[in-house]
Amino acid sequence: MLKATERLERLVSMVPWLIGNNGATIDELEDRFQYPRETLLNDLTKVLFFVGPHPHTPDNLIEINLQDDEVWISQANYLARPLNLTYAEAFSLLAKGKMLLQLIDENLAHSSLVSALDKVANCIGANHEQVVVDPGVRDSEIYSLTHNALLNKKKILIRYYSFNDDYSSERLIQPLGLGINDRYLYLRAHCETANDFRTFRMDRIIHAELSEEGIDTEFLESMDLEPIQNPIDLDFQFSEEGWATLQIKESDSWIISKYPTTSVTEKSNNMLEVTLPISSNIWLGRLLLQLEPETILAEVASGVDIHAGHNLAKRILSRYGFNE
Amino acid sequence: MAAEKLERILKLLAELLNASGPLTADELRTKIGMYPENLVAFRKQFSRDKAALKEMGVPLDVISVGSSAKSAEAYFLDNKRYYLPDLDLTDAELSQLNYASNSIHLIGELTEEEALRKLGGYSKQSVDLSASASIGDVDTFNRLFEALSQRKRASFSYASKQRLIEPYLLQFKGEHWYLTGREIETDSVKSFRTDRISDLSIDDTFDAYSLPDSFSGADFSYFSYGDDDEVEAKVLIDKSHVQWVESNLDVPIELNENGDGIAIFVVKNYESFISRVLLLLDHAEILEPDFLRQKLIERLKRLQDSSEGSNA
Repeated sequence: MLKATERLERLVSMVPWLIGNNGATIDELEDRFQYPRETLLNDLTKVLFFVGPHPHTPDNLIEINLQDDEVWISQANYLARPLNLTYAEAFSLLAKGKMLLQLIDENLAHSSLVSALDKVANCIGANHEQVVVDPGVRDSEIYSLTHNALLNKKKILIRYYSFNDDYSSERLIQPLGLGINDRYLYLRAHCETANDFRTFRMDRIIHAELSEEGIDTEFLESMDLEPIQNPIDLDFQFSEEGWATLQIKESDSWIISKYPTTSVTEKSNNMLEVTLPISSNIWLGRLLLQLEPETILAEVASGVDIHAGHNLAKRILSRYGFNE
Repeated sequence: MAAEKLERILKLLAELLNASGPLTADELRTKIGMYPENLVAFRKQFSRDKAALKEMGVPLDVISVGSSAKSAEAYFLDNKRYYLPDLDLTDAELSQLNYASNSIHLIGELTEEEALRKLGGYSKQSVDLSASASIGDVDTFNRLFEALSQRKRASFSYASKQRLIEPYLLQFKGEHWYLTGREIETDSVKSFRTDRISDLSIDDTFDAYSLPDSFSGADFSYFSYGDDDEVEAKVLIDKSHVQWVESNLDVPIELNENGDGIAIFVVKNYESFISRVLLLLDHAEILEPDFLRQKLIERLKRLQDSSEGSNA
């Protein structure tokens, strides 16, 4: 059941459209304005019918003409135009439109979205160029190839770099759709190598080839694709068993808000002792590379390499010619 | 009861839209004829009705009328601000806006279903693309967007300093939204992370400044800002990581005969730059200048020494 304010908002949007459209069916109004049929009929005949400026005589009340399933409205000139957009509404539409433009191929003539965004911005005095969404990896060849595969429903052979494990693997995937989560562009796909659905960060696909093989529509339709419709979750998976306790300097306290730390205590040596879950030994080593050299790796769960930082430093130093 | 409230607010709106001048609360009560006789009950109900209109975005203004000894508050709607300009949206344009609304999720209490109904109808569509982005504090965005749309100056506190800014654009990048504009005190164009803005207030004056002919958003090469002497750093990047560097570090890369990349970075913050290069582990190598290469080596050696001294 809609609240009175929700019905009010629908009515002041619906009446202008109904007048401009010179009538409409109840079905269309119900669908277009998310107005439950019974409430809509009630509001048209028992509320709107009695509205008008003082002195509320028949000649200035809104006239509703309901015949069979069709309705017309007259004597409502002052409601013939909708209420203007709020700044928040216009901003939301612009931001979403801009983000969608980053996902779709601009060559596919989505000029109607661009012109719509122009109109939305103009109506509150702005210029659509005043809202900018980073293009990310859209310009890359891999992006074009992926887009092509999605359009033509072809499988792709990819080489994917796992940042957490510093390891790349070849995979044959059936692409399902692209998405953005905050900063990054992702590809959702069914990975034949893993025989499961996977989400790949586009900037970590280091090579891609279009396969001649088409995607298996029948197979994919038989799977539960519900998650595909949802926003993409973080690509970052922490292990449940792996954790480490670090003593960090105050200047490195940014890790407390960035990662899901399980405890933080102040130590007498002005250091902070932080325990956090870790994703892999490489991940831990990378974190230590980013922190002040005074950081102490105090304790780790079994199976986690307490030499992770040392070993990673050694590996990088060998690239610079130090092979002790 | 809900129907009565709806009818009363619609009549209030009808009066305000048809009024030739400001109307006092008493005048509105008489004209609408649906408010209680009791003065306290009337004030309460009238106040809730005004709030409902304002929440929808109805630009309801209040002014004082009458002599100073016996003045009263009067209400009026600026019709020019109330009505949506004629956008002449085509069906295809409305459909694309609906598609964007269905595909993209802005994390925060921001919705445009009402906006789409105003534009001619919201429709639930099945989508094959999706995206999400954090929006942070909706009120801040609302006001910043009002400021840049109406070219109103914004003042706020940022990094412990009070700023007066002429907003140019809002930009989403690197997990955050940024406001770019001209800082009046320093006469320079700066970018500010919106989630770090506090004590925001927007000046009332419209068109207080003009937008420049061209403007761009924040530069995200963090290491190109700093107090170190500017140097050009040449970095060799393994073939496997060229794509990642191109898209994450905003730098053009030239490929050599092996397919490896050579990137030239402008660096003014040495420590920040070394941190970035270290993210690439042994898949990249600073070639020049030598002192930056040595700094990186020194940092790695200190990490090794510190590991040996820790509980490891």
